[in-house]
Amino acid sequence: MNHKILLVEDDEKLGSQIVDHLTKAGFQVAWLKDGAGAMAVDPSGYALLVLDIMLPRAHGLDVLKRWRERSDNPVLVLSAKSDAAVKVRALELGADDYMTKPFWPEELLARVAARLRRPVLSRHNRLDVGPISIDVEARRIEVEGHALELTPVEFELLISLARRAGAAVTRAWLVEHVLDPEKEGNERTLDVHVSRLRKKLGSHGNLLATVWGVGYRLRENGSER
Amino acid sequence: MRLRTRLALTLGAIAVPLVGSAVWLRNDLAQRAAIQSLVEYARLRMTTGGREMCESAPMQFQEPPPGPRGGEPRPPPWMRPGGESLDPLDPPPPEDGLDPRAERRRREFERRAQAEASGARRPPARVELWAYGPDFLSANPRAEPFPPELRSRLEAGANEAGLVRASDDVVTTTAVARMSWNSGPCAIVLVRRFDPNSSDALWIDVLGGGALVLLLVGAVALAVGPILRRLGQLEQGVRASASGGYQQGVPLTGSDEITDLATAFNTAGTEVRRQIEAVETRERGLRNFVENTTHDVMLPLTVLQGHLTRLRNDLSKDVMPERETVREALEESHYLASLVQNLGAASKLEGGEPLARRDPFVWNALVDRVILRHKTIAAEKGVELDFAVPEGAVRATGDVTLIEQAVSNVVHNAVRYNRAGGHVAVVLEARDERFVVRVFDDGPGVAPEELTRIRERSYRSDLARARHPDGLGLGLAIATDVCARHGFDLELKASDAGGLEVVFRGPLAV
Repeated sequence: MNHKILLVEDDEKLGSQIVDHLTKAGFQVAWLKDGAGAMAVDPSGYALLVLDIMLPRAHGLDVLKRWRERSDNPVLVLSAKSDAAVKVRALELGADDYMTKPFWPEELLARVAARLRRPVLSRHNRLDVGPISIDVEARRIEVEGHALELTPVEFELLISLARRAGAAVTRAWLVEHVLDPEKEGNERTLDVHVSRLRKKLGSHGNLLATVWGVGYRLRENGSER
Repeated sequence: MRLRTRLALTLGAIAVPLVGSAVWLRNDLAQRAAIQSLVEYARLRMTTGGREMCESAPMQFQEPPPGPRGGEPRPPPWMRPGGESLDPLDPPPPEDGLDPRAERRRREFERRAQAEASGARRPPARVELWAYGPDFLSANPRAEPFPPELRSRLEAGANEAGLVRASDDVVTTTAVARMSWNSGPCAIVLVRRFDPNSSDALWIDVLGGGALVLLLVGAVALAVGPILRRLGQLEQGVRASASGGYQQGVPLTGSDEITDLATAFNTAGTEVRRQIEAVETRERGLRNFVENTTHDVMLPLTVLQGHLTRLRNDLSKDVMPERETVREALEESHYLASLVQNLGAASKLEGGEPLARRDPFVWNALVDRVILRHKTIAAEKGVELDFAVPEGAVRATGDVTLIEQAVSNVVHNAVRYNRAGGHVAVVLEARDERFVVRVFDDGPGVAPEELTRIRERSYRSDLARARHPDGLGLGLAIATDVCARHGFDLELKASDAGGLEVVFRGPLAV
């Protein structure tokens, strides 16, 4: 990935922990410890900016305002306050997301990754999810270069999941949008379609994961959630 | 400046010029009357034989006529003993049929003059009469030149004029009158009257005026006295009430504006007392809250310290720490964070005030945040936590911190009381202009009668026992309250998957 991230956090311990976690996750991290320094920064030089609200020598919201005058790069705000007013104000000023302390390092990494993730849909008529390539217009699917023969329902099912790759889609939604209502499709019918599709994906069948209590998800790689 | 001094000064400032001008006005009127009476005398004298006498011997005419030695003029006839006319120059007694009106006026005048002369203690006045021609020159060589000031007034068209001059010991009143015939050596008559100038009159005026002013000021001071006394009592009452923490009002007497003031003060005092009591209540609540919070937070902190100590001991003995200890330490710290957030939410809700914030928020992001917060601890416990949100944003309004805390509590409970290998799912949907957030699990679940009991529990009374054995205490009570405040439905039921299902429902933002 090798994205450049700016962290503005005045607490030494927390700051060095965050830097440590982000560096281990493969990011280049610059760390500033006060608001005045953050004011002077050019935000366009960073892929993402992580900003603590309570800072010495300048308020985080003022820093955010200054940054927003110069750039639209994503800003993730950290706050120890559970006060809704600060969060709402931060979002109004153009913050993309906020996190309340305390948070798990995994939580922070997931948020950062979510902000940096490129859109899955590269072009309107083409979807790429892991080894799967879908040409929506031509209705053609390839897995690692090998064409896949699918029924219309299986094709719609795969496209629906691929459009939101990584996110779980409920059974109810799939039944409503994928199955043919005239054939009285229900969740049981859906499960049958899914298991057939999984079989056709062969060794990549585990990409099509069942989400307990929810429905299904198309994973972008084998290990992701 | 004190009230009494201010009133006295104000009154003095008003009364002194008033009294002064009254005195001046009185003097002015008296002078006018004196001049008028001299003019009347001149006309009367000239029309009752004076003209004839004057015109027959203008070079000698003067009244009183010159004395035998040609010096001092004789006093006018009414000043001589007996009042009888002995002088040939004196007007003869009028005969019958000779203008009865003029006769009456002459009698009246003489009566008044005599009364004045005899009644007054001061020395009698002296009156002179001189005649002048239309050219303001007298044929009588003893006559003084006509006063230029009066001359100019007659020349300006007046028929009569007068002035008063005062020297140290005599006040001279001079009146001139143009006669109706206005020709001959006696066309204009000058009458001069000399009064002794006594400074008594001035003193009487000054003393009288001063006494009047003093009387006024004194009367006002007297009238103000009781008011000042009552104000003083009110002041003492207010001080006493303030020093007693407004427990006692000021006594009410009378029924005037001061009573109104006292009543207003008592009303204000009641309000102050009410606010003091409210502050005291709040402070008591805050103290309780801090005590309870301390208790609630110290417990998991102690447990956490225990876990960390065990880890350190294992490591110091070169023993690989147990995975379970690490997991419990992580879980405890997670619980601690959630507890502190809940205590914050509880303090916010405990005020019982209506919801202040109604900000728009997106449920999708909120659910995402809640899942991320608990994902680490769920994975640590071996509980699968997952969720689904629709592609489009589901929008609603409310206090986003409180709502997030409510959902977080429900998810945390579901994870916390599940077993390894269990599942928790959160599904967000938008249906019929309403959002639906379902949190369900395949954990041990809760008995139906227990569900009702949980919801009825108040976190206020159970704050100190947030770590209830059934573990659903504070968190669920807060979720219930948050939903009630927002007008959201909160449904607790047995999940189809075997555990508990909690459903949040509410209106979408327009």
